[in-house]
Amino acid sequence: MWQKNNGKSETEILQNQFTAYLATAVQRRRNDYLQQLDRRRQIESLTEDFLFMPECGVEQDMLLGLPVLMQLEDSALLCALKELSERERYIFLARALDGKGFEVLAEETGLGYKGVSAVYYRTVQKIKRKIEVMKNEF
Amino acid sequence: MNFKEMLLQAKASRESAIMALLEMYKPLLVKYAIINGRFDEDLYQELCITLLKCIQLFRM
Repeated sequence: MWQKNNGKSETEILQNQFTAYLATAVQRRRNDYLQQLDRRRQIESLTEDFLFMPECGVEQDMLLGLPVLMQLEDSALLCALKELSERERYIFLARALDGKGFEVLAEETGLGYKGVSAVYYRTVQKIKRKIEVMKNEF
Repeated sequence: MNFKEMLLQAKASRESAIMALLEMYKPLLVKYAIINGRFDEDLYQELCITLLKCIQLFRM
């Protein structure tokens, strides 16, 4: 008869420890496996792309006309950008794409220099974390 | 047989104990072997190997 493991007796604690140990190992193995799979698929698709190289130039020209958010092919980055607030997105894109300095942005947004830089670096952290999570979910 | 004895016997590579542990943790392994809603047999094999390694490496 199966009994719930309350983690009270010594052997139950041991079992919980072993299960946690195993779960971590299994998760790592799974992530490795997924990465391998991903890499293999990328290599396969790279060789396919090679055949259509001449068309790549055309596609890039087409992309240039689209708004920034539609030019992105990286869906993880796109998701991360969508989740940001209006202000964070503006500051991040203005700084990263248009190369505006913090002083200029500070005047535009009405924040201080430090405020803008804080928002910017926090945003970068958020995006990084989000992409990390997305990659693990896969 | 309680878990501790089972694990000790499995560590001493007694086959019946290892099989019992594998059976016990099968649901966990199956859960992690699912990719995009589909059961991946290769991954399941890899995870079974991971379990065997874990039995050997786990320090009590």
